[in-house]
Amino acid sequence: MYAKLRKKRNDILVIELKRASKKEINVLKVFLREAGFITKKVPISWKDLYILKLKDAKYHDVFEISFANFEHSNTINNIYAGGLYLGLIYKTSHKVKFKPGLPLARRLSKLCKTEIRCHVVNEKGEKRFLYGRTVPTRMILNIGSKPMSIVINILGEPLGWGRVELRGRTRRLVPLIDLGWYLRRGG
Amino acid sequence: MKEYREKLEKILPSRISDEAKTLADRYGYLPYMIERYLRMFGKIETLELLEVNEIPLPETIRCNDYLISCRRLKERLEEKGFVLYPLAFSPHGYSIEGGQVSIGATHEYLSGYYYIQDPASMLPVYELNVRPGDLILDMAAAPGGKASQILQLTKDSARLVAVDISRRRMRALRSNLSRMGFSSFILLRGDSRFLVFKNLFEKVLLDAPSTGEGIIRKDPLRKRSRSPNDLIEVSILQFEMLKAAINYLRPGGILVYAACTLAVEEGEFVISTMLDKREDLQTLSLNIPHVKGFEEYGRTRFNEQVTNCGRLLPYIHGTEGFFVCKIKKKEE
Repeated sequence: MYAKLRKKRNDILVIELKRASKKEINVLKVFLREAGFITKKVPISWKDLYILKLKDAKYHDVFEISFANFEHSNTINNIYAGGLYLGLIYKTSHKVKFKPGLPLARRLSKLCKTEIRCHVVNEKGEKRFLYGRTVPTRMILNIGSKPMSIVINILGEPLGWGRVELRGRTRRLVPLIDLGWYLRRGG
Repeated sequence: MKEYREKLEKILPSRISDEAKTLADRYGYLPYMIERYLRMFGKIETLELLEVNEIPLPETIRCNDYLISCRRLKERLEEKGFVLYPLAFSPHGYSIEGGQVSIGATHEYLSGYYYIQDPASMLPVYELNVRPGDLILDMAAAPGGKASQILQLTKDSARLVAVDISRRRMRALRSNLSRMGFSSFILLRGDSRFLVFKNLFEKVLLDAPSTGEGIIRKDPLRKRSRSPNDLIEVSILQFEMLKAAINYLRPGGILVYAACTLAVEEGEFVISTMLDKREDLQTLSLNIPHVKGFEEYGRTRFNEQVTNCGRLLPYIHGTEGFFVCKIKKKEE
């Protein structure tokens, strides 16, 4: 088995790490505004945004990489990931959209105390949310200023992203992505 | 590599003693392994090793003090029914017992407040003496135990380039670094023997792929799963990776070579052969607990500098078996 491994050469993926274009940055800014953030106050270094493009992929990962430029870095062509993962950009039939990642929730959750109102769940709600299950109204302690928002627990710790939806007359919190993903994904 | 292979084949036992056969039979090992242990440690210590290897390794975690204080983490896990004991020689390590859920499924784990890591594996990174701003290469980085520790010790302000060959393990590496709140890294997927860098990194960590002879307490199947031929192939791979690591290291830089193994063939032999080939290398003494590397093994005499390298032994240190060596590339 090791002989086989030794024979295996550098199998390079067709990947391109590119600085995010204005258009791509704008997609992210639109999402943040929809989630209630004032983009000028958001702790993201816009000049360090990179898009990882895989050949023929349906979506592209967005990262904030603080040290993408070092000696020889321009010759690297097998980058898998790097820096703070913000989320992914994908195309629907008529629009380019952004889906946020968990590290972005952690970065922005600091603003939940001061700048915006986030969704807050109680202990039972936290458990449900971390299993990727819908949280009923009775387990939501505070509903954020926008339907799509960061979800935090009573200690202010980020749990993920969720959307408050109306079902009949009651509201419920639907997870978009939750920390349990790390476990379910097998990382 | 032909010469390396031939030298290596010579140090492997050509015949197996009756004593080794009896012990191998009693404890369920391949006989060639026991023959080597007898040669390394003598009969009494070999018996101690075989006995300790029957006791499963306790579950241990490394607290991520980048996100939470270790004291606070201990309190939170104790509230959930776990009992934590600080590890003797790791400032961030705890052994952990009890609890009603798996230690890999708590909210604290998902929040990145700790990493499940074997005790000896926590130690090599301390030897790197990492500092904020250092450009560091981790050559076999997945699933990210040591990579996350490098970023933890530098408060996410080193510049880490982490490489691994396996796509599946790469996903785990990415998940773990993100989960633990780090962002000062770039991950490259590929064979770390063939990178484009030269004389670039201030620190290089090579936690080399190994036969895993050191982790029998965790994975008893290793008693029989690696043949002498596997051992030779692994050793050659380790030597090639070490050669590449030295080329990536800048003059004056520090390299830590580690492998979760007891084998001389994966430790002293690899280092000694490299030291004999290159004059610009110097081994440095270790600060972590260890027993000195072997200067002699069978009829082979290694480069005298290998005595600066060391080994953690299950029956002495209570950990898994681990080989560590710290090497400096001399200034030009």
